[in-house]
Amino acid sequence: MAKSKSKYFRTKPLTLLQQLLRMTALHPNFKLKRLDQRRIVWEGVVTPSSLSDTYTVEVSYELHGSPRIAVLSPKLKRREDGKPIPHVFREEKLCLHHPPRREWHANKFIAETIIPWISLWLFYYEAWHATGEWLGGGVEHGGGAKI
Amino acid sequence: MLVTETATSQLDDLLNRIGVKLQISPTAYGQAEDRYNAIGDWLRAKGSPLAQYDPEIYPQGSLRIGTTVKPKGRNEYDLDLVCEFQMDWHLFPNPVDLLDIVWDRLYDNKTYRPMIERMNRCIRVNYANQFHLDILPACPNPEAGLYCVVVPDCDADDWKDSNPKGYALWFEGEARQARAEFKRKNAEPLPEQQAFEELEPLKRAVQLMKRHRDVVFEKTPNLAPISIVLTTLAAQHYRGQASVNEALSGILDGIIVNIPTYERLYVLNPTNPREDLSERWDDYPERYDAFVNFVRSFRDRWDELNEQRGIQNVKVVLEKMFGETIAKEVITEHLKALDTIREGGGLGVRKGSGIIGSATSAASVPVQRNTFYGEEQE
Repeated sequence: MAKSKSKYFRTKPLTLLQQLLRMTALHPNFKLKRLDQRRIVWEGVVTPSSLSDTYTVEVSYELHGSPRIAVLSPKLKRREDGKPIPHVFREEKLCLHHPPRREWHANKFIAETIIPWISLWLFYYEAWHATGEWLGGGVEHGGGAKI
Repeated sequence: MLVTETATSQLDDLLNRIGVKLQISPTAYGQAEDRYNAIGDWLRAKGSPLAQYDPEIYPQGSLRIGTTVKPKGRNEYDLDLVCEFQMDWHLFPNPVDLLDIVWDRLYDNKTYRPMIERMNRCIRVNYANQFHLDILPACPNPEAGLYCVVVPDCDADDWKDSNPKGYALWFEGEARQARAEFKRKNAEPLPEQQAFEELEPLKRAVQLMKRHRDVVFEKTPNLAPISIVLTTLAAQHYRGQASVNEALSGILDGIIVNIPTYERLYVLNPTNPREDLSERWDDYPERYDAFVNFVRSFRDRWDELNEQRGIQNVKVVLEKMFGETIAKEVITEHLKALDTIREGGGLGVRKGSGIIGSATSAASVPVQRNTFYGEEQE
């Protein structure tokens, strides 16, 4: 979306049908699970890299809200040393973008933003288990940028 | 294509990175070259009793063929050199005399005096925290064939046949079977230090075999199969695979299939079939048993490595085989290598699977810029 129009996005978000069509075209690995007036839910299988595990994830999006992403299986785990999983909200929803930077908003396609970011998150999650370090950058609540 | 797009290229990236970490750095390599050239100058200098024999020092073994491996738990690389003298070895009734003359000449130099150590077949010059140079005196033996030399053996009190240049040429020939094009210079006196992108899969496979041996036999080094045996077997069973992973699988399979049911395996010097490189297995059958077990369990671990899914699980197997620190380091590098591409908007995910790769492919969806967010939970 052009920057000059961004102040209007709240008045004209993409419809759930538009989101669905783009998702079907770009990510056949994401199947529609539920669709009603205000809410859409997909379930997808994602393999972030060739040597990675394959994950089942659920993406649910309510109009005027922010997409919520949960990993259904295999269950996300803390590291063996007890370190908690980085970049998740409570209930272990993935934190893929920083709202103040408007990397995602209702005028953007979930298929073009959120879905690729899920792969990236999962790849860094596996490497975090392997090394103990989050190598994907980001910011923390109340903290400065890590990139 | 990015390495993450196929399992083989992704594993090869990790294995190549392990190889790079193990091999001698270009800087240390250059220093070694300077050091042994200086030693050569000293042996050749005016007033040296050896000057008339025109000594020439050249690398042999892993240094020559590019398969050096950092020793485990030690900083110094073992670098092997030959010092060839243009003299008729028949004139030396006692071959140990040759070693003595070289020793005396180095002892005359105040710099070298505290650094030298007498070994069975060579003189070792120690450079603390860097490497030691093992200098093996040799005389040409043209009757035995091209590049053939004889070297003194103190334990046997006799001359032994050797052919370091011939062996290196044979090995390089086998390594060059790789289907991929590898540019190699073969110039004297030293092959150029190779960047990992261009090091042949056979050489990487040899490095990995030697490293795994060092890990397995850390507590029982006397039982460990010697490098020349592993290197020779690797080259004999290499079939030109362009992938390090596939090369090593093929080599281990080839060795295992050729282990005889009765008697032992003989590993003969390809440039001199009368020389049994594995002769020590006659006197030490427990070493042969250790070798057979080593190869079989290596093969099992290699299968295990190829079956892993999940970077963290791949890391666990790499760690078992090659050591904890190195496994962690190469995974970190593997991920970090994506940073620049990610920042430049060059990453994509493949439609239908989500596998991260290059954004330029038609079958991929570009990864837009993002900032992972979230609370630090304690």
